[in-house]
Amino acid sequence: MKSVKGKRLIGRKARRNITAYLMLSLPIIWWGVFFLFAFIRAIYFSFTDLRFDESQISEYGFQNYVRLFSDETFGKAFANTMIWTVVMTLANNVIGLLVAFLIFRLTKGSKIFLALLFWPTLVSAVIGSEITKIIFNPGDSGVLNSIIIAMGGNPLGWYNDPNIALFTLMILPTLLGFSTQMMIYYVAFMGVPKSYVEAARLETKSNFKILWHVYVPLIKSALTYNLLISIVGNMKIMAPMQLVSVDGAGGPFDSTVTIMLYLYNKGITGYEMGYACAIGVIMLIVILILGVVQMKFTGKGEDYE
Amino acid sequence: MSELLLNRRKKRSRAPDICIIVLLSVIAFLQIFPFWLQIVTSLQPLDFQPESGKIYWWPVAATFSNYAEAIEHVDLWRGVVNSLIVSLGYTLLSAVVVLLVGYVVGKKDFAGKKVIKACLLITMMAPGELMMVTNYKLISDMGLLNTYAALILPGLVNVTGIFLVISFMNSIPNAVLESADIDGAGELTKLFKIVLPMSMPVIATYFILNFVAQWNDYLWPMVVTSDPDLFTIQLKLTEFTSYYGGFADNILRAAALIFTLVPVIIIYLCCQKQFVEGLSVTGMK
Repeated sequence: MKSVKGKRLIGRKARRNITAYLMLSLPIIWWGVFFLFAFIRAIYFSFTDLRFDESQISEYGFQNYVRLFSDETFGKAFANTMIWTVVMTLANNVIGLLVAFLIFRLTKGSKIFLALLFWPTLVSAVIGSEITKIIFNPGDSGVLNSIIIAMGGNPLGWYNDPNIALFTLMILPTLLGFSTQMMIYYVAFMGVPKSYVEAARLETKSNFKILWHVYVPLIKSALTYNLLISIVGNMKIMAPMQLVSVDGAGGPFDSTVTIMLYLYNKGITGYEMGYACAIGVIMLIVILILGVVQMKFTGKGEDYE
Repeated sequence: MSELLLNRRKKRSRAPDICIIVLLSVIAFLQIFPFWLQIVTSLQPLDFQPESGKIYWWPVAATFSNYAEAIEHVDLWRGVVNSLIVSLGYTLLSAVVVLLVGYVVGKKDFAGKKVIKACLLITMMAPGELMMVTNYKLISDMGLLNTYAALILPGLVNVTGIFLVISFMNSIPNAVLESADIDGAGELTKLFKIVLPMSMPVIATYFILNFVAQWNDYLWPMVVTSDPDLFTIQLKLTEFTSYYGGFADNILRAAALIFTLVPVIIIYLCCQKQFVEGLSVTGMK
């Protein structure tokens, strides 16, 4: 009798596992094809000279990676991506944090300002780039240039000037790109216990000191999360460069080429898929390293108990 | 005594309040300003020539005919239809997947659950664009380039959405599911008759967020479509070519931009809550 009961118990467990996996089977297969398979294949391709047709692979080995190290455009892409990531991560998080704190400090009307400052998150990459093109048009008729001329200055080349092209692309994302971070910081501020802040108020009147010494340490998980999504998101940047630069490939003179854009140019339009996959693998490694470093710096993000 | 303290605090917070409001208003204004310029431009008459160095806060003679012209010139309706097919198709299909996986992982006990959760996390962290080349090749080898399937199918397992649903599952009491078990309900009955109706808030959030994300996406559509008849609205925008030449082109382009942005803004005005919820759930795990 006992053994029968025991068997039944195992049977029920097994049945439970079977139902669970039956329900998950299709999603798992789907994920297997479009993530796992694609991922492993990308790593495999990175060791080949694949152009498009797999039957024409003739070389295997590290030659793509060797080539990457002496590829000047890739070096430029790497540098540009790093500059972009550092500047934009800082800009979006500093502005996002300060604006969130200001809204949080408001006694009235915080909801209105949250709504008023959050909508830019809906502006698509294409629309943002079109706006950049119109405002920073290097011709005399561009919005900013015509103002500069009217004030008696010399018009700038903006995104056509290799010296300031990357900087020009940063302006609109700085102005419009902090809404997600702002909202996450704001939600985190709401969760900070009032008693902590009141205790600090007895010691200092400076709001800035209170933000820095009381709030920031208490919203570490929001900080960690925001930094992580900013870094990962910005490392993958390619839309403004692709959509604004005149040749669509990161010009002029590779001044705005990024890792992802270079990957796209090689893999999708240039049919050098093996090489593009190697770029992708390097990118993955860099993102992993940055993620680990960032975790070390800000800790795992545990807030107050 | 305490009243006195309260009064003092009130007084102290008044003055900074005004400063904060002014500062925030300036930022809000700076954000809206470029778009306002586009709205003004889009309403100018087609033969309008701007004076150099002058900012037009208001159109010289407002006309909506540019919108009709832009829609026709850029073939925007086609883009709208394609974007609706892709956005709705993707969002509806992936919502089913997301709910199914979210329910099984969030509510059921089974061997290997931890492994599946780990896989989900890795997928969320790994930049999906890395697989762009191999997935492009796969779609191409399957002969699916320039089809709606290519636009909808690859991303159907939406990991962020799955986490959204998993965290929502905590709010569905286990007792409800257990009592259904006692009644002898099958898994699918439980999923569609109990979990689905109770999950409507999170499904709504998922739906709105991803509809907008799909509407705004351009990269994957650019990779897998080259046929203008299949271009989503964002690709139609990038394909804008010179028509009249001169400033008239700017007017049409502005009209096309605003036309593309307006539906998203309307959705935002109606569903602000969902946008914030989506953020705080995935962001604060």
